[in-house]
Amino acid sequence: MSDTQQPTIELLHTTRLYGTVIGVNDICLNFPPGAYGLVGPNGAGKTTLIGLLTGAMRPNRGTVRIFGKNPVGNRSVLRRIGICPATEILLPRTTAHAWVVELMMLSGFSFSKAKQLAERALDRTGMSMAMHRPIDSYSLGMRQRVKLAQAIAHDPDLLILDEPFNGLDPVGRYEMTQLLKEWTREGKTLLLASHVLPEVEAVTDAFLLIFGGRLLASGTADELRELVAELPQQITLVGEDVAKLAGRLADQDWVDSVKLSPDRTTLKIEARRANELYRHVTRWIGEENLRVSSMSGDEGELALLFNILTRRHRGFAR
Amino acid sequence: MNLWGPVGVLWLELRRSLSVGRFTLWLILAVFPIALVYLARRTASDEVPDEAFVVMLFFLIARVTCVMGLLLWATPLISNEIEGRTWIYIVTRPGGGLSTVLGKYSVSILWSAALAIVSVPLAVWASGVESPAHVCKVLTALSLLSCLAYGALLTLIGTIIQKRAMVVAIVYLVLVEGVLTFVPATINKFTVGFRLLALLFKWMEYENRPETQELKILFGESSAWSHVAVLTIYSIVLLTVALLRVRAGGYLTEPDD
Repeated sequence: MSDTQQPTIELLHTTRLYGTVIGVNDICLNFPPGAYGLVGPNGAGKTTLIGLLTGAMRPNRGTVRIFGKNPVGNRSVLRRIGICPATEILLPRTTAHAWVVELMMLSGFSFSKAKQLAERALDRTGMSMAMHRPIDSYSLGMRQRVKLAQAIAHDPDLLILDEPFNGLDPVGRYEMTQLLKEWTREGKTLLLASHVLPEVEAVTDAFLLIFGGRLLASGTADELRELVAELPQQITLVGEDVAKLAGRLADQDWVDSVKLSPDRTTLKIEARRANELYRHVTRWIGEENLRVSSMSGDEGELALLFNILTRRHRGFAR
Repeated sequence: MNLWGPVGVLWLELRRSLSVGRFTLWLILAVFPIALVYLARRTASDEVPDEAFVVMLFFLIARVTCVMGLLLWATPLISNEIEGRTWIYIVTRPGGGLSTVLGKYSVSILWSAALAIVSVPLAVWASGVESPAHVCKVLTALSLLSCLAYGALLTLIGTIIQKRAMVVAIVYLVLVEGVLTFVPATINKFTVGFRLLALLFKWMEYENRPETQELKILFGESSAWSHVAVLTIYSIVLLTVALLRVRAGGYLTEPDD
């Protein structure tokens, strides 16, 4: 199999435990080169999964293949991976330049080549002016840029970033997004882990949703929204005319409950099929010109998505 | 094997060691044996033989100063990276863990050997012993051997014990290297201290003197070079085990996401 046909990342029933605590549980993945968002709330198992992909951890069960090979201690694989972990670096008395040079030498480059690569990467991440200052004097955003610089300096084929937007100001976020888009345009693989869906969405349209150590779903953002729409959820309508909708909704077989507030301006609906709910409610509002000021889920989009998928995963929802 | 990896670690660690705090510590350790032996010479009566001062210098420099330097550099080699949250950056580089062990072992030896090289001539001069050039040569050689062997031992402890490696190392040094060295049984032959003492005894030619001949019972008839060979093999074996331990991985880093 040629390198282009070969899946970049391949996990087969991979499980990693910490004693009795589950890090990742029976994950199966197989994807070709491209950009992917690994989305999950804190504690979902993203970092453990990244540890397995980079060979920093061994699975207790199952297999991990990167470029078709086991990454643990495999120099040819590790040379092709760049990683930017989520954890903060605590390096006293060390400049960004010296640290990135050291890491390039650890990757096997000579001192002069390591210096050249480090300076180029630090320049690319906007750190060339401050690279000779100690890392412990940097802001959170600057440290994030240094971490990214060491990940891309050796021009890896697979770039793994864990919460790379942490601590970045709006300009920094924009620059980081542009840099990552540029990276994926070069035809390389990017795995971007985050607990904020819009951050990932700005870079890629392919998602992996992880929660409780399990892969809950994968697909594009639209596919995931579609999935949410097919699942039960609670919607709140606010407005002067919401009471007029209550009667109509009560007659629908896909509505579980309708609750009107005493002041008759807030309507809470629990529906088994959210897409039906949205479709009908928006049509009725439009047809009758009803005064409804807002329509929202009770949770944020990502929280809602995880809540629904987790419930389904546990067998509480259809 | 990536030869640039250990050089990179060595380069960075030496840069980091160029701080006021580290230099002050180095200076204190270097001056400590000189000051102590100077005070001993001034307060001791003229009847105290030179051998007593040579043995004192040996213990202060080869066994205490060098080991203190090694303890600070070699023992926390993994735990420092884990606490600094930089271990993940190392292990995701090809051969990164092995390069780090070799690089930090080299730094610990350089730092401690530099201590000995500065301390030995000044301390020998302060002690006022006869044949200072010969004593300097012997003590410098013993200090370098001490750095190689204890460096490998403390590196191994640092790779095996992730938390409280320093405490375990000190307990080991006191119980095994401190006590067992002087136990006149086969077990003392497994200690670095015994080999170094035997070498001191041989190279200072104390075995040929009537007043110290009894020491032959403790140190046996082995040649000096056999002791050097044992210390070299000991260092290589311990360092290899340390490298294998790091290669096996599985260090607990932090609560996982």
